Amino acid sequence: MSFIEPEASNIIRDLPEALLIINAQGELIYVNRAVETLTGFSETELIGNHVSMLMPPSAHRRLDVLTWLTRWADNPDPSQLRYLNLDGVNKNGTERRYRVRVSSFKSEQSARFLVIIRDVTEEEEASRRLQHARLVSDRILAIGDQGILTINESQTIEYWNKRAEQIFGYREEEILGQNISMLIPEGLSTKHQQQVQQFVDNNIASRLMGERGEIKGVHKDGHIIPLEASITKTQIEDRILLSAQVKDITARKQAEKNLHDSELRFRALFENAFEGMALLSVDGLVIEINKAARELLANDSVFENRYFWDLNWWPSGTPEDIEISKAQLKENIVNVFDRDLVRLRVELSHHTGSRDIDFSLIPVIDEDNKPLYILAEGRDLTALDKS
Amino acid sequence: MPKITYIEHNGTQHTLEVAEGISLMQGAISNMVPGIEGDCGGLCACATCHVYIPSDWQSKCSEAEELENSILDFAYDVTNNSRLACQIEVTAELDGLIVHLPSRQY
Repeated sequence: MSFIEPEASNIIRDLPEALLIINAQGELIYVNRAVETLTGFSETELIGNHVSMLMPPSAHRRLDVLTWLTRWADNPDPSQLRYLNLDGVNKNGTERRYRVRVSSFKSEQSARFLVIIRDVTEEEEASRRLQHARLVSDRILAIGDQGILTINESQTIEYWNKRAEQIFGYREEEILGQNISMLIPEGLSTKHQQQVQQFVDNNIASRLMGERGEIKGVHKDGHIIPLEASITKTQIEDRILLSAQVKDITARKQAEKNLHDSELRFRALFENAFEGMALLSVDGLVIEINKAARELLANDSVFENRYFWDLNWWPSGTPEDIEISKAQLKENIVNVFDRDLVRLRVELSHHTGSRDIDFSLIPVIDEDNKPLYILAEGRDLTALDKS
Repeated sequence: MPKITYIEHNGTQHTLEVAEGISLMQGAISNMVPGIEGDCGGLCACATCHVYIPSDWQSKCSEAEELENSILDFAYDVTNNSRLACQIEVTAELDGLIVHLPSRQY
């Protein structure tokens, strides 16, 4: 080390960075103590050997380490070096990753390379693990059933998943960096801004779907989208990020409307039928009863959840007759699933006079033959008889 | 928007619509294609967005500059079809392009 002053030589020897010097042929001509610690090789084992002893050539790489050092020794752009980690190997044969810095100088008319190596194996592995975990969660978010977006404190969109793209019609590159107001219908924008600010200012970490009512968004093509949203707040250092999961409830609302319309249509049929009709549970309790049937029951005001045979069908009969009629009706109802259909002609006493009724009980089963309901029908034949 | 198919080393295909004007690397990263790392963020400094472009598509891609070639020297399993995805801008001409990814990026 004649080219280094004695004191400087000591400093370099004890430097906490692994430092080695190689000549133009790639032979190690100096290593400090940190190199010995890092690689496991002693100074005497290393000196005179080729640098590829520490960073061996690989069939998978086009260039060997010496070519690399030569090329980058005088690179004026340190940013290029930031990312160039090399495959290394220590004395016990373990593969390592070394981050290498290099500069060159001339000594005794020949080129020398001054090289600093750092073992970044664990650092690189940790960073890859983080990167891979991020990739997995990103891919989960990407296929999520709900739109996911993140805005920052100035309400600018910073994250946008694929489902959000489908719900609102904007691609990631169109929407990132834009204000959230782009997705809020005109007229609601100011209110939304205030709500977001309130959420930022309060102490609640998350607000879930269901705790808030339906909200409205606007699609790229201008149509209004009914939505439900959950929102959560994350403070990262001095930044506050708000992330929302957004569910498009258009289909659900349409299904609800279809169901409601269908209910209206069937109720219109049922309620306005000339025939008296009642839907009973399999054990004979009244579930629904229509207007024509209620009209035959002038003495009752409550119908639902009573046994059909307990209703006041025979207001003017003697108690004994009523008991007999009730028992007959009950017998017919409880056995209807064994009989497919019960049809009989009955006479009912009514405040307008005696009514002649064509009465039937129809068992209703599901596709697996499981009993569902009993349909009771009564057609008033009195007027027909008279004509 | 040009359709680009990225094929992972294990054969998994990702066919994506990638906006014109961004790089093949950004297109892969924003669509979360595994196997492209893009550590340096597109500075042509890290060789972690190494891809293989089939020979018949090479002429439709912008030509590799000296720096890209020199960075590629340190990529893993480089061939004549090797490019850095951060240096290829997506254009309408690249519609239908197939990009193969190497087994590792570092």
